[in-house]
Amino acid sequence: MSDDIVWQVINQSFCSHRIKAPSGQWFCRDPHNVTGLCTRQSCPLANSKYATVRSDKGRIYLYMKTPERAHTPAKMWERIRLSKNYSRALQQIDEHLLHWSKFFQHKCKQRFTKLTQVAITERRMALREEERHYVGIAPKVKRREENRERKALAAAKIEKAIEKELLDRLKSGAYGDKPLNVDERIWKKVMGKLEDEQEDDREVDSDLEEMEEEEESDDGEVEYVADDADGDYVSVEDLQKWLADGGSDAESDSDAESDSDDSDSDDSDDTSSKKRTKKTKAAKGKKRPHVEIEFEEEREAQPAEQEIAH
Amino acid sequence: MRLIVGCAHNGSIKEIVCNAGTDTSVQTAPQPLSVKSHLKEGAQATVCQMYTFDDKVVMARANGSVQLYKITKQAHQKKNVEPVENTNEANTATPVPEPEFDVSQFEELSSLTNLLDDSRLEKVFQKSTKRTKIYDTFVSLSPMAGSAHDLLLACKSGLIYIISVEKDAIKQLSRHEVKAPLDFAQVYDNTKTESVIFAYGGEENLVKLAKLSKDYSELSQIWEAKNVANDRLDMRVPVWPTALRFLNPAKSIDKTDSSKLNYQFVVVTHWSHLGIYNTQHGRKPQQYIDLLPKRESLAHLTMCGSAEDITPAGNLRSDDISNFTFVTADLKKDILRFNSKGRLLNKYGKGDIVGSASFIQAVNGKYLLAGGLDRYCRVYDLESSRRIAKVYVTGKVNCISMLDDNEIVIPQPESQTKQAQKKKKKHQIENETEQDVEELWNHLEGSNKKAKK
Amino acid sequence: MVNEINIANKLKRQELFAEIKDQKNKERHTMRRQRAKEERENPELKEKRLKENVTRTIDTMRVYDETIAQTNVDSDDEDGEDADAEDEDDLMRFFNTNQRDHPPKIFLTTNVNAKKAAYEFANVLIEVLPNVQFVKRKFGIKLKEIAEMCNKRNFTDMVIINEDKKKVTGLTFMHLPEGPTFYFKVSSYVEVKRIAGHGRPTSHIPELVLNNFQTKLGKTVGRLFQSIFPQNPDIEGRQVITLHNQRDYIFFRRHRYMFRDEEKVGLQELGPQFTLKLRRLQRGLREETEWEHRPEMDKDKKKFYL
Repeated sequence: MSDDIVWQVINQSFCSHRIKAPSGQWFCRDPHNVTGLCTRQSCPLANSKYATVRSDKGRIYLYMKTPERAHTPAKMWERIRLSKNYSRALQQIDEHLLHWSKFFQHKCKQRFTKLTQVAITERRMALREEERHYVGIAPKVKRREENRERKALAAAKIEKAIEKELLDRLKSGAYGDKPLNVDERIWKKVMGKLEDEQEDDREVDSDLEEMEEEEESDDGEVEYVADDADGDYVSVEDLQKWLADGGSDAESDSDAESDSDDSDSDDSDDTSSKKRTKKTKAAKGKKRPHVEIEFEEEREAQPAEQEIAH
Repeated sequence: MRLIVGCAHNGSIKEIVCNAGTDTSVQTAPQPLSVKSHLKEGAQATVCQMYTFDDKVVMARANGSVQLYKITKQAHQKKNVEPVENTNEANTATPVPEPEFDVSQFEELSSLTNLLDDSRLEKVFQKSTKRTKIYDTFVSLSPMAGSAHDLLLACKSGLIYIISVEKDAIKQLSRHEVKAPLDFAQVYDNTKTESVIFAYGGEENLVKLAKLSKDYSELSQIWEAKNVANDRLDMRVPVWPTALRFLNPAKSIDKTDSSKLNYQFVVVTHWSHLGIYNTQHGRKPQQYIDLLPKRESLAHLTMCGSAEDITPAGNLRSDDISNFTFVTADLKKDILRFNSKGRLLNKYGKGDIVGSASFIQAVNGKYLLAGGLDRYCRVYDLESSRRIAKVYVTGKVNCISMLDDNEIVIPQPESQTKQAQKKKKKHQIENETEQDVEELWNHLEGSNKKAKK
Repeated sequence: MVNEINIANKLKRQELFAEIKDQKNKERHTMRRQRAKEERENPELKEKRLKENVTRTIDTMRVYDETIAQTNVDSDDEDGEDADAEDEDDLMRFFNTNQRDHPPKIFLTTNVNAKKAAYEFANVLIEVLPNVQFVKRKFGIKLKEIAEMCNKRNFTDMVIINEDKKKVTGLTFMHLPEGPTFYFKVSSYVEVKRIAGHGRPTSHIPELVLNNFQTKLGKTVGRLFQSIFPQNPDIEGRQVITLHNQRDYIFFRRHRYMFRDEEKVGLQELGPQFTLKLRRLQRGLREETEWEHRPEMDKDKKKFYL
């Protein structure tokens, strides 16, 4: 069958490989098509002399067909394995398509370039560490979780639980013998009760109560053991003065502490961080020259810049 | 059955005595008869490897010591009078008799210390895909082919020790070094050989066969595997064999080349490959199959077969590399059984196991012992994958060993014969049903009256 | 009752019904009044009633879990005794219980290619977490490299915010250097602005309240939060951070409190609010799975894992 007749059929009636893009362009889905467009020139069916580049199991081949082999469809395509070396492969294409039309020479090289790039990207993606793994969630499950969360929140009565816990701590003396977070008047009351209880305990079997207390506090909560530092607590007058100051002292104190901490760690790490910058620079330089590298390290070295992140 | 479990949390071992059907997650199911911890040595000295023979047990601990213990059995002490009266009203007269069984006592006989070397692994860690620092542990403890009292002890850092147990003492015979890191060392004991042959390998450490001279003083590598060809993207396939088991040597005489070695073995890798090697065939694997999608990690390998088919070191006595089945575990939660074609046959503990398995072993061709990071020790029926027992051991499991699988007779609460019991039961049921019916009627009438009001 | 009022006239029917209802209400009220009176005289009665009338909630009917440490184990004397000690051993290995030597220092970052939502959430977390340093995540640096860097700088924990489709969906907590790794789903995040009557937080180290972490897994999670927040709170700040576990949902709240008298506590919310749900617990830095949530686990309403 003549090429022209084939093309007439394809072009004017129907071709199963042909698809129309939303933009109105016609594309070809035949795997042998060298450009992907549905045109007379690049139609692998309507050209008895045709050349293309395809990849098979990771290797890239140059495929060629000629009218001489048109009567044996099984042996129609002759394929040549292209070298892994890019320039060598281009030479191979040049050699094999020496007397072919400029169109095929050019398009085969283009397609070969594209396939090489695809392989490179694929390799890079395979090497990349997959940080997240995605798990599909059925809408039903999502809804169920939302509903259960809502109900759990209602059942939790969080504020009540917190209040109870705080009172427990207050009454069990977890805040030390002169807590700063309680009004004195209330603390006295609590103390009075505590003493009463203790006296009671001595009379009644004290072990039981203690046991219970311990059990309650066992449930995975923090225990506050009286620190040595707690011993030098502030006297009441001092406290009042201090309160009048508005607690700014405490803040500045803690700030200063954290500052000094930072600088300490920075000092010790300075050298190592510099080294690392160099390394990362070198490593990055190979792959993507346009990525900025030093950003992170600089930020760490200068705590002042941290505020940007805040 | 009687199990010894090495726990990771406090370096103890637990002896569990339980019957089939035990399940600690269900209150109504039979509970283990006894769970007792022994030999607590702290979290730094967890038992990594265990080998039991006769009435002795050798344990390799994570702090670098190897200890020999003697197990003596003692009748279980019955509890003193228990307050059973108020719990069950029906048979207050007869207290529930206790089942009679023995518990083991462990007595330390001898030990070796300082066998591990973390410093050898620092370089390995730089290259490794592991993100947390690698510490040296014992990866295998197995008997030699010739004598059951000589043991091969391999460390992750590539140190190989030959130790022997003579009477009540444990002695180090020799020490060798091979390329680190090791994930396994498997002794060949399918046929009698003049000298001991074993295989080892690990992360980026291809499978190698090594030979020990008769007096264990020399170690020479006799064979090394070759990596498979590059993959589709022309990238190197990463190497990380995690477990290996030998098969019998290939038989067909006409094909075998006597100048080449003749070993057959199966390997699973961290990148979820199944590799079947035949040293006659060449250094590359005869088959290399992807078992799981996305190269999920596999660890552990245990061959399935009847008790006679499995050697003491866990190798399979069969030369047919195209027809065997094995059990392996991934790092998520599955314990999977595959056949030699890489086809999934069944999963163990579906929906029950939540943590990855840290130990699996097939025992007697009947049971599969599995312990995991979810702090349960489980026993499965190997063939039907039905669960036989499940015991919570409060710590992550490092290793399990089954001492025996005897069922302990639990005496019946009443001394009557079974028939009498049945009769009584029937009678009771009848009575109950009658009463029930009456009650129901009364209830209905009452409710009717209420409704009318 | 209503069905039995067979009066065709609607007004009459309603009247009758109202009467009946009123009567019933009165009866109930008198009954209650009387009961209250009796109980005032005799407090034992009240105790008895409260003991008998316990509401059956899903929480009380939860499926038996042997990992919840029983307080009085009578069956195996030895085991019950050392269970607590064992717990400690196990968790000590992973978490720096001795915070005086290693105060928490947290490395905060986001997933690669994070959008605005992640950074906003990071700002919130910087306020909440102590001694935290935020670093913008960059493309192509592997987790192992990040972990190594953090180890060199003595960070004790790493927190990664996971953002998907411009919403914060998850939080990963990694304890350094050995793990474990926790992944939580984050839901129903309410920013501070949205909370009516919210207060302004001060820079005091807050107290920590961990409620309801019962099973072994729950205790591990509780221990994670204990290790993240410093254990020497400035109690004069009167701030409290709560992680309340209810049916496997962990509610995060922050309040300022005031003891009004010895029985009453006033709470002012400081915000933010969000809910965490444990999805995965892994050994090491994202290595072997120790526990993973699967949708099938939710089939039984009464089975809880924390």
